[in-house]
Amino acid sequence: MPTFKLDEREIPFEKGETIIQAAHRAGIDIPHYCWHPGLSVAANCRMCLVEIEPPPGRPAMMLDVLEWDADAQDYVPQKKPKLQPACQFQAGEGMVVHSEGSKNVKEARRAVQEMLLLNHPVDCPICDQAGECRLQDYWLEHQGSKKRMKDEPVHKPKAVVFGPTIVYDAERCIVCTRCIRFCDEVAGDSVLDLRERGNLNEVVLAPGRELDHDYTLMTEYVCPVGALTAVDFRFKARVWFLRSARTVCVGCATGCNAFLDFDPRDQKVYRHRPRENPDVNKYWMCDEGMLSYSRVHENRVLRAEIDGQTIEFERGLKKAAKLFKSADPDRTAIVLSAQHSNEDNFAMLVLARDYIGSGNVFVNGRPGGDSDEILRDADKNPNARGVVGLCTSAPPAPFKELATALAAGKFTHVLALGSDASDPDEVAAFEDCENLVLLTSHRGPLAAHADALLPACTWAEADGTFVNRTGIAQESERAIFPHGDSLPAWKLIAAFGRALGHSFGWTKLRHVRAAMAPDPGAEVAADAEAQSGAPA
Amino acid sequence: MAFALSAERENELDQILSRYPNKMAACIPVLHLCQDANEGWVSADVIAFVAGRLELSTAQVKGVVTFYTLFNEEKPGKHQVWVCRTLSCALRGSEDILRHCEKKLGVKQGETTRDGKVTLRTAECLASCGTAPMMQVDKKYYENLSMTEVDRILDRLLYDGDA
Ligand code: SF4
Ligand code: SF4
Ligand code: FES
Ligand code: FES
Repeated sequence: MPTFKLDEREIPFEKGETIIQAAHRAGIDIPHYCWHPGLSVAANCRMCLVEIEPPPGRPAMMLDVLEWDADAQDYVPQKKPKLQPACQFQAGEGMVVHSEGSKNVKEARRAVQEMLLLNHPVDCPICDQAGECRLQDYWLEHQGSKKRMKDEPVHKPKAVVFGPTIVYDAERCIVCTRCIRFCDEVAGDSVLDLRERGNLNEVVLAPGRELDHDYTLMTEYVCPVGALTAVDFRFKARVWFLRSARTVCVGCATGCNAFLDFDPRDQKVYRHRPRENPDVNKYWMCDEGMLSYSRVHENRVLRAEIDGQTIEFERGLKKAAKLFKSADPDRTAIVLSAQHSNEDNFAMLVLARDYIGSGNVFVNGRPGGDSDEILRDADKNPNARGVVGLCTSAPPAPFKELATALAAGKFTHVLALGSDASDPDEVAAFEDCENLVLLTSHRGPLAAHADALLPACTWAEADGTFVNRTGIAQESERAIFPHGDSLPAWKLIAAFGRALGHSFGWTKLRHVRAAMAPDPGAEVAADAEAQSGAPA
Repeated sequence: MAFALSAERENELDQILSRYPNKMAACIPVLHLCQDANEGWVSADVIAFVAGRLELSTAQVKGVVTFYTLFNEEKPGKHQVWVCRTLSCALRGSEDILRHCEKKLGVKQGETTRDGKVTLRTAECLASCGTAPMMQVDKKYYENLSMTEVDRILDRLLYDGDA
């Protein structure tokens, strides 16, 4: 690979790559606002300026400037090299580039930063971006001086409603056009553009339109400052109190990699945002997925319930198990869930196969929905492929068949993971099911017909593995502790097995994982994870 | 009612398009053509028409319209007066000229006289600094202005309807 020199370091690059791209890959951050690795180059913010030495034997391109000389108390003529935007300038073999190491670059960045803040309201205390705003970070890193302009700043529209999900503040906008390019290039809906020019520049909607495509939160997320804010997150949290778990979105079969931001003090989740993965979601997520986190706190089953009555957990577990004590395995149905992780479904299969002795395995999940060519899949379950992969002897039968079998009186007992209905029209068939036990995080459509409900964790409260539509198995990390009496589903299943009188000994996630992949390597990895503080 | 061009202007549009490598590049001349056909301003209908013809989003066309001061977002008066206010003209008294115009026309800059005859505006440097102060009336430059000259020009616009 050819290389160039950046502040004395050799940086490899691929032909056609810009300086910032190659540096980014090498883990070196050249300050930037308008550049985004997933968008076209606009080169309008000028924060990424670097000094490039002329090729050997060629003179440097120098500019005549007037520089303030404090001693002489006057402006004196000076020559300065012409700086180049690293986001646009292509790297070349043997090129010598100065970034941090150049006095001229430092001065340029200071000046750019001062200019970007000239008309900015600096209203950080009431800005949601505070704490993760580049204007704040770069002021400290590259400016560190007071504002010198004494004139009234230019005033522009504030709190402009762009659509149901996004609000725009033109005074905070640095006109980097990331949001516009995102809409054009990724969402495929050119709904935004700039109006006017110079310090009157402002992002506006296409006449008669709203920002209402399926990727509006992502449009907000690419904004490097607080100009775009999400209605969902406005004034809800200070980001420095939030911690981030590395999750996988459970919104659909795409399995976008994400960060789930939660507040460890109140154990609530506040935001779901993309985590880069070139093989799955690149830099993006859809609105549905970014908002799906709210389900963690909605419509939950947090206590055991028998015949609709809340009951203390252990007693509930016993009573639910009692319903199954005399069950005939051939007339017992086991329902897996494409909403749940491999670990949860594996536990269910082991219970069915090794302890209950039933081979009547079905799979359930959320019903299908919209899809697009960008990310969204019509299958709104994160682990349909994982479930099929676990059922090595025979694929699980669809939910609809279970409904038909129930209507024909084929089963007396149903033990199900989750309470969704992948076929909402078939729910009525469960009404007459004599013994329906649901291990579920939510009060889904089946819950109304259940004889026993046992509380399971959502994906945010447990570690788990999900296999996406292309067959990539991805781990999702626990964010918060289990709410109420809920347990990670695999743990709940093991407890149910013990309540049935079996010696279902799993108490740690690594026990499940070891049983799933009985190879020593996996055990070591899982142990290391347990020691690093990850929950069992 | 949706905006449309006359057959003659449609011809002109085709000619404009044939001069450019792609449709987007023709945006400015096409907007001028349509503005002329629409009493001197670019309405939402015109934006929709141009966007449709050039296969652009309406947001993009709107961006162009607002970027260039020669496109009007509202219906202007019969005549448009631009007083240059940039450095050379400012040093040679453009502020007084502007104030004088405002008083005489009874409007503030950016506004149109009630009889719809004149719209008064300011412009940034019109590249005629050597003959500052100056102003542009419709498509014509008036240079080395004095107050008497300004009066004469405005009187003609107001009473004769032609500069
Ligand atoms: S709103 Fe944000 S992303 Fe869009 S141009 Fe302004 S600063 Fe850039
Ligand atoms: S595309 Fe699917 S996995 Fe990705 S964010 Fe949207 S719902 Fe989540
Ligand atoms: S990052 Fe904005 S000019 Fe390069
Ligand atoms: S400053 Fe008025 S024409 Fe240049």
